[in-house]
Amino acid sequence: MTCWLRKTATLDNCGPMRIKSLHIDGFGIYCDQSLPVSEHSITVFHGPNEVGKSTVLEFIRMVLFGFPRRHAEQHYPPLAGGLHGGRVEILSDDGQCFTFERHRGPHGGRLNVRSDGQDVRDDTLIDRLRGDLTAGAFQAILAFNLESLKGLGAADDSDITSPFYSAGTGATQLPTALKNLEDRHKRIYTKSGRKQKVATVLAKLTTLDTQLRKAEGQSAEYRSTRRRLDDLAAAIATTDQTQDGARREREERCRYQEAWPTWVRLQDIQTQLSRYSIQVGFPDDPLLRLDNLETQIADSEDNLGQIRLKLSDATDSANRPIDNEALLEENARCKSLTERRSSYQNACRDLPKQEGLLKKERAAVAELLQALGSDWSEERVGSVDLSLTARDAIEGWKERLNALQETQRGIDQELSRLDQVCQTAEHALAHAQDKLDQDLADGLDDKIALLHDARQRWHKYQEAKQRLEALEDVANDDTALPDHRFPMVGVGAVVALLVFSFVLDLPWYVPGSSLVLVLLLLLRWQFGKSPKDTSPIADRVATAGRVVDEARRSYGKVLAALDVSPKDVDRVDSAVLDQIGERLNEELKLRQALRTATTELDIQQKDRATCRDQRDQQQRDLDTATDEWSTWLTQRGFPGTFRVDTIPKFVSKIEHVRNALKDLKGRRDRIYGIQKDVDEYAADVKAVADKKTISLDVSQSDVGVTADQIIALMAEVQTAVHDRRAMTARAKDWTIESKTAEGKVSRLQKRRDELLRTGGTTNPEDFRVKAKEFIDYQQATATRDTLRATLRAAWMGRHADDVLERMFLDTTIDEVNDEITRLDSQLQELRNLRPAQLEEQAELAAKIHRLSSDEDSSQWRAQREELREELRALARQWSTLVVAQSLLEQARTKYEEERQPDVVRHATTWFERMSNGRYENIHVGVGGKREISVVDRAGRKKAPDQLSRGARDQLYLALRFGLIQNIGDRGERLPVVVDEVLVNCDPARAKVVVDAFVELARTTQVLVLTCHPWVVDLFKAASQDLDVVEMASA
Amino acid sequence: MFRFGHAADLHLDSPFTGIRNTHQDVGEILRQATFAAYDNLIKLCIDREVDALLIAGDVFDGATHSLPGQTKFEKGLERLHEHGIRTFICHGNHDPLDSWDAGLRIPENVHRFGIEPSCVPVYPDSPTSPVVCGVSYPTREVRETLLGDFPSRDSKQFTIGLLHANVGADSAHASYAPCTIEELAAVGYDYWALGHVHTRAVKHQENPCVVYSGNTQGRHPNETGARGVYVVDVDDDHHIERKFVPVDSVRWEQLHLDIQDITSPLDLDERLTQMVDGLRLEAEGRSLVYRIHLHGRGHLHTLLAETDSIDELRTQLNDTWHGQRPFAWCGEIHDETRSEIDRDQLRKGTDFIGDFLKFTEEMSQDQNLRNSLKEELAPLFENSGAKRYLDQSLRTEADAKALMEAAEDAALDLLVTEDRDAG
Repeated sequence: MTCWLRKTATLDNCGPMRIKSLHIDGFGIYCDQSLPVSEHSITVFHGPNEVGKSTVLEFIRMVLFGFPRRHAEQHYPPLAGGLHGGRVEILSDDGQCFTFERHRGPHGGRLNVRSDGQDVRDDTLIDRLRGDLTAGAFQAILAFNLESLKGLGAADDSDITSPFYSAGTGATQLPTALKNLEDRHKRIYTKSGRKQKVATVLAKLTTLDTQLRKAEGQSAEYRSTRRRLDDLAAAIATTDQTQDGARREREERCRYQEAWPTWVRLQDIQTQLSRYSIQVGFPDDPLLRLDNLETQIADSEDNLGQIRLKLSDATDSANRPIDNEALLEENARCKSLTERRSSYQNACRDLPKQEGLLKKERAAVAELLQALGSDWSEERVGSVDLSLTARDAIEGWKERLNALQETQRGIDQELSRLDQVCQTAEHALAHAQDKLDQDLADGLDDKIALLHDARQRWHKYQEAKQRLEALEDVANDDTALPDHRFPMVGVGAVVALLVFSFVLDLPWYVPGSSLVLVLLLLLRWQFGKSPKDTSPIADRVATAGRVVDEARRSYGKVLAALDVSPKDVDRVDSAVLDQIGERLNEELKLRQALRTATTELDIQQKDRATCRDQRDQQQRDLDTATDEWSTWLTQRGFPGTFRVDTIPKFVSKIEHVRNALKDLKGRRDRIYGIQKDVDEYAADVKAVADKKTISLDVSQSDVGVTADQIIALMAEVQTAVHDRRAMTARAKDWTIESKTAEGKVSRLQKRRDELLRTGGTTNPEDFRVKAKEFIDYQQATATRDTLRATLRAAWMGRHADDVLERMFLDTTIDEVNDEITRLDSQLQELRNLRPAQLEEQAELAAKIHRLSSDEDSSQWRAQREELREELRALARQWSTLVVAQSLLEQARTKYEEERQPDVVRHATTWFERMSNGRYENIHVGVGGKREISVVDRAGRKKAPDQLSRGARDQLYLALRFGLIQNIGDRGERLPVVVDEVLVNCDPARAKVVVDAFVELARTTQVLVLTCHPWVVDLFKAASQDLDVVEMASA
Repeated sequence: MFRFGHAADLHLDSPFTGIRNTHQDVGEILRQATFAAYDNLIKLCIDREVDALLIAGDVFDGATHSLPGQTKFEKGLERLHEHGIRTFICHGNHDPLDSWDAGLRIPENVHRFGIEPSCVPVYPDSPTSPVVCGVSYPTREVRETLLGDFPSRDSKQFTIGLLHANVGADSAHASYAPCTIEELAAVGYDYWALGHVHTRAVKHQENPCVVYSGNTQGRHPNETGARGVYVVDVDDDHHIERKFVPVDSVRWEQLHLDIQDITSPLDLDERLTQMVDGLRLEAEGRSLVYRIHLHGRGHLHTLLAETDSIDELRTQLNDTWHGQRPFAWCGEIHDETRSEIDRDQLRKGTDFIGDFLKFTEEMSQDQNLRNSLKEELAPLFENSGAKRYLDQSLRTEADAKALMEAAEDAALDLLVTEDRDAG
């Protein structure tokens, strides 16, 4: 942010700043025009009107401070062409020359400042060169024309003096600030304003207060409504109470109405009852009671008669005599006979049968004994030990003997097998022996050795023959065979032999021994070369022949040992030897087989012998065990010949016999018992039958028949005795009942008599008559009581009968009906009243609810408080703005008062001079409007509009001079450019003004633009330090 | 053991002050805040199973004759009555006896002290029952002490004094029923349950215990922090144990922020958001109404000084938080910031600004400053329409000086502007 009040460097040591030259490229009428400005302190540009003097003034302003921002193209357009703009050359106070160049463009045109051919970009320097002034300040103070001068004296002095002073004091924003503050606080509040913010808020507050005042009454209204509600509740209660009372009263009267017939009837009954004369204490239900008593008496008498009859029968029965009563003495025996009668009968029936069975069983036992053996008897059977111990022992013997037998069987089987094996081995041995050539076998080993020797000798023989042949060949050919023929032949022979052995699958030792032989021969040939070999060939042949012969003889010797004829020596080659060898091998095998069979046979025979021994031992053991077993049997009564496998069966037989014997014994015992019972029974029967006193049909000899007779008779006697006892007891009972019945009859009769007495008579018929009357009376009384009860029930038992009677006697049915009618009317009235009361109650309740739930007043209060806060905030803002404005104004006034004297003093001095002393003082008003006034010599104050035009111009010129001087005193010495400011001055004044300019020019460059020669002359006359530039028309 | 609740200054249905242009939902919650606090109080008494609740005056603002205030108060008493909790009430300057005009049906176990001091046992049937002594304001203006007629105590019974008064001549509060600690002690009670001062305080620890419970709900920016009641336990030896329990439903707070390190409006918004978030956490689930004081020097001052920028910031903050529950509402933003310009240096200048600053400095030291400024402000503050809504302007010299500074800042902001000429 830059401030045009930026402080500049002091210019204490600097001269005035000067415009040196002007060059206009295109501006107004000028085109490519240079205007030099002399070094004199005053330069007068003189030219006719429209020559462009004012254009020069404006040009200077334009270059220094820029084109207008808007419509720049219309600001002194280059009428003569050329680039719109130009340059101004300025000489600074320190003598440095700066060229300010500007042409029309954006933002007022770009300013280029150069010095010594270089661009100057230092804004601070540039501003200083422009006196740190704005365009307005420059125009207001230093570059003015007559209009500008007049502007100072325009109608509104305050508008003029403010920029004047603000420009001078440096606060160009002051007017704007004051305006801003005033506008803002006026938007908030004005005294009579209606649309300002405060007024709006106040209006709302007023409205709320009105509403709240109304709402203030809610509390009292609530209270009064509540009271009214309580009163109304009481009134409704009263209405209800009255209504209930009337209803009850009506109900009471209705009871009278409903009960009135009953009352009338009651009265009749009472009248009827008064006519009866009933004996006091007449019994209730007399007829019923009398009838009941008489009926009971009759029934009781009948009952008594029956009882007596039964008593008589029972007594007769109890006293009747019993036949054979003496039999009772034998009661016990008879009882026994009775009890045993069926047993006796069964026994008699069973005895023959048992005897028959006994006989059969005896026969069976005899057979069983016979089956056991002739020496077996019952005693013996019984003496056999068949205890569990014995049985366990038998099992043990059985196991032992069976094991021995089993072992023996196994041994026998093994022995049998071994016999067969031995037999087989013997056969094999015999076979081998048959096959084996014993002779050959005896010398087989020698034969084999001979064969081996034969093979060796044969090989030697063959070698010798070959050597001889070779020598003979050598001898025959006369050429020495290479020595290598022998090894070659040897190698070939080895190879042939290996192939031959492989093909024929000869034993390994055949090709092996042959190979060894060849190698030995080769070695012998190799190392056997002796000096003799160097002997002549014929000798060698001879020697070889001898070797051959020797070899042959040796070979033949061996063959002879092999039983081969020497003649066959040459034919017995290796093949033959092989054959011999095969035969020998076969013999060898046979011999081996024979040996094997022999060995095997020996082994088997040994085994068999061992087995035989075992069998013998086993047999001995078995025999021993068998003997022991026999002994054991005998000791326990068994035959000693039994075997363990047969003894169980025998034991079973013994047991069977024993069981049979047991059964037999049992049979016998049983028969004995039966017989005994029969005899005893018969004795008892006889004992009873012998009693003479007992009438029995003794013609029957059958004991059973007799017993039956006794038993039957006894039963009869017992029955008779029992009956007699029963009758006796019954007779007692009947006696008691008879007495009881008699008592009952007596009591009933007494009661009847009493009943009759209570009725005042002893005659039942008379009693009946009276009773009927009494019954009628009772019915009437009952009816009366019922009626009374009905009346009491109508009043729900609240009143006694006498009270009810009085109630009815105190009124009439007509009165009752009238009262009911009246109460109906009253109730109707109350029924009509209550809804209205309820409706009002509901309304009041709703009102209470509405009042108590009304939130409006609360909301209004809250809104009121917010609006008050809004008002306070506005008041604060307004206060700040108003005070700020006031402070600014006061400050300005004070500033003007304190600062102004310098300005005004200077201006006063100038004005006084310009007016030739006519005016002594200039005064600028403070506070309120800015008013400039002058004070003449007479002390009269005059406003500018009261001055002549010339004097007014002088006044404002003096004010400017004062301001220029004041600014200059503070440091800035900027050129002053004036354009035709003397036109309104008379010559004398003009001269004074010129003198003032000359005086000013002593410290400030002054450029004067005029079209008047006399102005030029005036300046010329006033100063020597002056230059006049004549400006010709374009 | 005897337990009682000590509450005061319920100010039911009294609106919040120091806020404006609230959102409809927020405004409704604020309006209901005193009722919500009262409900919390009733619930607290029931949950803690107190034997009695003592209310030391200013139940509602009698001047407003608020019917909802009276009826809801009545309902709360009925709830306590249903739970067998006795209530003792003395009335103060805001709710004197003559302001209760709704004809409320007070439950039978509620005792309202009259214009004559009296003592009432908590349990009439018990000879050793604690006793509550109190007195109510007959009218609003009670400027003399009411202690003179308080009955002397029975030495065996725990005695509580219930009084709405200014103890210790606290100048910050209106001087109603003034008295001193010594005068209270001379009465000889064990505990003084006081009302009138809205900030809780224990004026005297014991013999007697003199306590202001404070109001149950803060209603303007100076009533920040937790508001509630005391739950007091008294054992058989008359040993007292107090516990403060907050019951307020909305909490006031003030934020102070130095703009020196704040480089942009976005940064300012973030810083404020963080601070508000922190306050929300501290409010323990309660809604929050806060006032922001921006101070310090920074280039942000220029932005803040622009017309309506403060209001826009406030609106932006409220748009962010007002829809949440609990909400955070910015009641006001005070711009006490200053620009970064060097006033001292400017003051030394010989130009108009320098003269202006010198002038304002002289004015500030003027003995007659307040009167001078009051004359300037008289057109508004003496306006018959505005006068009854506005507080007296410039009540103190400090107010005058503060206004001077604000005006100086406003003027300076306009004078010191960017050069608009071509360069």
